[in-house]
Amino acid sequence: MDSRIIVFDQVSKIYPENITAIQNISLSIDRGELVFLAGHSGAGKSTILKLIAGIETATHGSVIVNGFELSQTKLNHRTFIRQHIGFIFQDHKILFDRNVFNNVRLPLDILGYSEHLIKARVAHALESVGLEHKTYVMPEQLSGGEQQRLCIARAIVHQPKILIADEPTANLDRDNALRILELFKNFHKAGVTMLISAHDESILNDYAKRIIRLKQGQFKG
Amino acid sequence: MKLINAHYRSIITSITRILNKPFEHMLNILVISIIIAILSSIFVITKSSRIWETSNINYPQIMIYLNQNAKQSDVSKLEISISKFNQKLIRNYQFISKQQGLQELQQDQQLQMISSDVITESSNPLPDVLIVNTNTANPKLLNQLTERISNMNMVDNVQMDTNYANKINDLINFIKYIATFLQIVFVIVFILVVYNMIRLQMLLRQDEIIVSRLIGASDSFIMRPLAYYAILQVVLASLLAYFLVNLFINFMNGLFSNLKYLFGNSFLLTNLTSLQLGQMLVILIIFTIFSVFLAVQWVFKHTPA
Repeated sequence: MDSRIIVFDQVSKIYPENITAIQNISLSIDRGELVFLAGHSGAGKSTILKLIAGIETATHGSVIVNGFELSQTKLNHRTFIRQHIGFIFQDHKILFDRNVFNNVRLPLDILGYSEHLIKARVAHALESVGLEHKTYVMPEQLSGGEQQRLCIARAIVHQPKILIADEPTANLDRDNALRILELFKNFHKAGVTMLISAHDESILNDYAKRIIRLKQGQFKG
Repeated sequence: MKLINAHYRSIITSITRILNKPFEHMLNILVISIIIAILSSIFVITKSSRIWETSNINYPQIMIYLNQNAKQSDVSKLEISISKFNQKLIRNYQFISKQQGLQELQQDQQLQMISSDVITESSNPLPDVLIVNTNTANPKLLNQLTERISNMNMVDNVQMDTNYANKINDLINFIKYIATFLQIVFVIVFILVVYNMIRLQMLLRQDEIIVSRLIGASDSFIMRPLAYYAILQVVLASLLAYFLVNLFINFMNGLFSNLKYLFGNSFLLTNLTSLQLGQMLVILIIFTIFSVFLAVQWVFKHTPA
């Protein structure tokens, strides 16, 4: 089995109106690796994460995730690949019409888990992020940090092979940010491949195994 | 097992969604039920007309004039041949012998002079006649039938009122076309209403759809609960429509029974049989799934992948 789980080969992404997000990026990430993507806003961090999740497709080059070449994969197949990825969105993407439990169970519903397994998995995920006491609370009653942890619980509940986090600490105070990073460290110890983007590099120093720095869509240094 | 579980969960979600806001959904169900009731009523009227038509409309008669030399054995052979024709074409036939024809002629007040002076038992020029009552107004079928009879042994001449046949056929076709046209129109209205209902539901739940797709939901995962939601509403609407059609039939039959006293001719609407009801429900469910598919495709086109 290939040790590399994510491979970028000469990848460029050009958005409409000729906006180049990333240019000729080549990188590979091994299974179980913890990688940070650092750079200012507009550096191309989110684009790389979206390309991995199959939310965007590369304009040039190839993106291989878990053995699948995404640019040659149909949309329906890309959504299937997403089932093995946990995505923590910058804007959380929480559903406010349902409680914490029903938000977290969504990936398990998609995978067709049975009801009793869903209850067990959701309980475990909420316990991992310290939200077990908020199981039946509506999301608007949660603080910013708690909403972020809810998003993390949803991303890990189906035990994905890859966990992608787009600016997970961006809107949090330092204490909450460190708590989240501590959580990620635990997932990494459990063997999950992690790719985390952050614009504040100072917070990463204690956790970083590998930092990829980006500037204007290209590697920096 | 996972698929059965997914279907089961979609059904439960749909029922819960309707039960949580019954009044919001009642309006949808009412609109769909009115469309189904109109469709069913058209079907009921067409079906009842067809029953009435077969027993009350006089389809064209075919007059078969036999050869003067035809014997009783020839007549019997001809009768056997005609009785073998499809009952959809021929309702019954009547044989009038030359003697019987003469008697009828002699009994006729106006023709009595001619018949007594010119025609006698010994010099009866009248042929044996077979009158065939048909069961169709289709000119093509009637012409084929006439031609076949003309070619039979001992048949001298075959006559049919083609003008009358054409008129009857045109009238029946006109009614059929109107009924078919109305059914097509209301099926299109049905598809559009279900399509719009699902499209609006999806737009209301757009956040859920976007998030679900982002975390790996397939198109069928998103479509399944919507399909069940629509099917459930169509089934409920069909039950309501069945009740409405019953009311319509009772009301109309009351009116028709009054007309019977005036015109001495009864026309009654007959309700759908359970088999027809089942068939209609299956067809409506197929149209519902088609509408949901169209609505889902439309929303997917306008929603980021």
